[in-house]
Amino acid sequence: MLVGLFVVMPIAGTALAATSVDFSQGPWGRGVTLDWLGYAWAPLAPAVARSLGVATLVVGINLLLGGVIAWRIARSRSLVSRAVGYLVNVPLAVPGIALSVALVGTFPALRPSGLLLVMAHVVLTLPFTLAALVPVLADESLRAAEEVAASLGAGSALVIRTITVPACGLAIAQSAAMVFALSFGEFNISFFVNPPATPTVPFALFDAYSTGRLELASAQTVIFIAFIVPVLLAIVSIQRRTRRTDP
Amino acid sequence: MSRISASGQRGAQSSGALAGHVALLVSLAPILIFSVYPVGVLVANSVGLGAVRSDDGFTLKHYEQAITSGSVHVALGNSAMISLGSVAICLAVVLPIVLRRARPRRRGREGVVAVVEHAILTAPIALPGIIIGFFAIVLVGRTGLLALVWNGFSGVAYLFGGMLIAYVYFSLPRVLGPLRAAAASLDPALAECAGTLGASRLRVFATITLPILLPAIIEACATATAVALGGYGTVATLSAGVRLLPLNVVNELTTGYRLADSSTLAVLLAAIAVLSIVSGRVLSRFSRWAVSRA
Amino acid sequence: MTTSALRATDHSGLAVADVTIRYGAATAARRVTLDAAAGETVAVVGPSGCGKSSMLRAVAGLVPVSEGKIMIGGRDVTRERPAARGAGLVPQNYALFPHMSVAANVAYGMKAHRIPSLRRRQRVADLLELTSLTAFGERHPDQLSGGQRQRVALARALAVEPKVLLLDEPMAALDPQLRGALRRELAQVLTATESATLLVTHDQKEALALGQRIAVLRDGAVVQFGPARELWDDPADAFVADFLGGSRLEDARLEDGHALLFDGRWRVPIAGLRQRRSAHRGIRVLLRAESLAVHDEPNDDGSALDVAVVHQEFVGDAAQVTLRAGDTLLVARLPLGVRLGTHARVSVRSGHADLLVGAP
Repeated sequence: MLVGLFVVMPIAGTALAATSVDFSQGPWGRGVTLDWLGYAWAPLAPAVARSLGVATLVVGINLLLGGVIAWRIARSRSLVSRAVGYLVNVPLAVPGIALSVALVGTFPALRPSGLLLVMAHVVLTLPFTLAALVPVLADESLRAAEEVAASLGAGSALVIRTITVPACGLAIAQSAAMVFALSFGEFNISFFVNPPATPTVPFALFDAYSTGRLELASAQTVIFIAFIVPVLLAIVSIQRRTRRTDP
Repeated sequence: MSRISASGQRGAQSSGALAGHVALLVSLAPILIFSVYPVGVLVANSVGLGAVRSDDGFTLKHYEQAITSGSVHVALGNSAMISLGSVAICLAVVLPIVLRRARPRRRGREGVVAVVEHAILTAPIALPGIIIGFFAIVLVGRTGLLALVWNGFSGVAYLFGGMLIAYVYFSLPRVLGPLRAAAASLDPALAECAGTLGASRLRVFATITLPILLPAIIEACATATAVALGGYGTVATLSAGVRLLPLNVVNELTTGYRLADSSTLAVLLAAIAVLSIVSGRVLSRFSRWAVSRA
Repeated sequence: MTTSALRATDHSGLAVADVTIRYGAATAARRVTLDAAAGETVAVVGPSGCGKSSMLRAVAGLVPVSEGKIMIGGRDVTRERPAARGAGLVPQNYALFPHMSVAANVAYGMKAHRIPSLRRRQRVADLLELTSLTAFGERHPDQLSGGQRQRVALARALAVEPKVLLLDEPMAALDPQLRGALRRELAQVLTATESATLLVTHDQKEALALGQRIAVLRDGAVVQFGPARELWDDPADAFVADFLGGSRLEDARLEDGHALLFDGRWRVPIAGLRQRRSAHRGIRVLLRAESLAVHDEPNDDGSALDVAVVHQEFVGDAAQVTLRAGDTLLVARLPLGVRLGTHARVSVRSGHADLLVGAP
């Protein structure tokens, strides 16, 4: 309970600041207002649009590449696939800011187009997709179901479409939500690779934190949290559902 | 299985396997190009062999500089204390929660309440570090909310204690998640059985629950420490306060593009993080072995 | 009755008196009363969900009792912690401590009871001997077979010299092929112990083989509790007869030398029935598979019953047929080689069925 309070208090405080006319005069100092949220939205809107676009793109690429890699890792026990498992997890071990320096030092030319940002997010989020997909794909009963479908005359494309993908449904939904949330709020790996003229939401926030008024920065933060909460609830409810169907 | 169908199947399988290998290669290539390869370049840059070729080829002078630099020493010390300290606090807070949950399920606590509770405790994982830093400013910054309650809180965000609490917030879900999973896989019958054999609750904890969970605890803490160590966002927002190592990495690049120096610090940061994870794995294995010997 | 009352006052075993267990709104056990004397094995049997596991967990102190009393060794332990009850539990999945060797598992309870290490070691050796595990003392649970795990769990529970030994479905985690042999081994260990043993199972064969007395539970209540033979010969109701023996218990009316079954549609000559006094009310006929003769020629004296043939299956030395009379299913045995059509007639084989006569 106390821990819950610890987690919620700063969020509530930020909401308080975002709706105060003058927060330096105390909570709701000189009255309650929604003006800050309005002021915050105008400059933040293009960044939100960009971030949504990037996150969607990252989810798409991630599921495509991650699906294939997870499938190979799950279905083969060779040394190669185990090595692949380790290599793909490199971004989990290497801090984002270090990877950011590495990426900008390697591909500076790709930075302005935004390609480097998207690929950085894909690389960073891929381990989460694999963690969700590999166990499901390696499941014996799924493989048995696939074999039965094949023995009934289904071609491999049909088997994948009608048996494999539906069985991975929850895992796919979970990784999509998780990847989306991670990409939408990503700051560390993005630091040196995001196109400077067209910031994503976290950079707009960072800018507000260093230069803006506390109330305005709070308002932008509240907007960000409002975008992330539905995704978070989705992740949690999916997690609970998988746990329930697990045993 | 008849011989004919076997050979037919083998043919189909090998062509399928080939297609599989090709698909793997095609999907893996972009990943490796944007993760493993840049890390290689990063290391090359730090020793004067990469994009920033030094005049005399291979050199360790950047490492020499980094290791002898006073500001790196201070930042490294702070980073170590903040990351280890925050994870230790998280563990102390989280362990009782996790163990309470792991006890034989009480009925009637499922449903909406549980989802919301879980969501609240998981929330910080979806919040970027910068926001957590900003939370510290809102609560215990110079004009923070708690500073109004008691003036002593004013500006704590920029002190060691404030930074530590911010990183506790950051690490909380990263310790909680893996421990919750480990505790959920613990068979409640073990503790029950130990209880019926005459063991007190403290004894059950010390001889059953803790030894079985210990490897998972060690591993989760080591990983969370590595993540906290490399976390840049929080300290970026609070950069006016305590210096941490990721700040130095960034500074080398933003104040006069010194790629080689920045790369060197990035390599050091990564090495420490990797070392934390690897030593966590090793310790975890060792603890499993030691517990089963005892 | 008198023997059961005597046992309840016996101070060395287990007595459960009027125990009710509730989980929120659901009732898992309703006014359950049973007892087990020292050295005796009582089997609690019933279909899944009948509350038998809750009963056992209540005795162990793992679920709270809403009403009633639990006595172990003459002491009221209803509100005691599990640790202080003197019960040795063998849970369904055995719950061996995975991080400890077999010997450490067995020694666990003795350490908790602060038994000096010399005596502890001696007793561990004795118990490993008793359970034929001497060679496995240094192994870890994941290196053992299912049967060996069961014996470790048993030795671990016996090590604390419990007043009551609690076995929760001891065979459920084992391969069906192994159960026969392991049941014999378990029976040997149980006869060697002085604890009162409460064994919970859904398998009537196991209950009959291991329990000196049996309690049949349904929907959280005891339907019948008594010596195994008594339940077999004189079941309290059709459920007990069916669950324990797979037999049919039908109400009967006596009329000029005949027992009338199925509302008078079937007139069975009393001369062909074994008559026995029953502790339960009414007049009833107990029909087992071997009680019935099946034939297809017509018979007009009413001593045979028209039935529909539902199913026939080969069971080795004979065929087993399932027959339907009205809405009752009867099971009979048929010599090999006899084939039935869709309809047949059954009569009672003389001297192979029981007439149970109770108080009116």
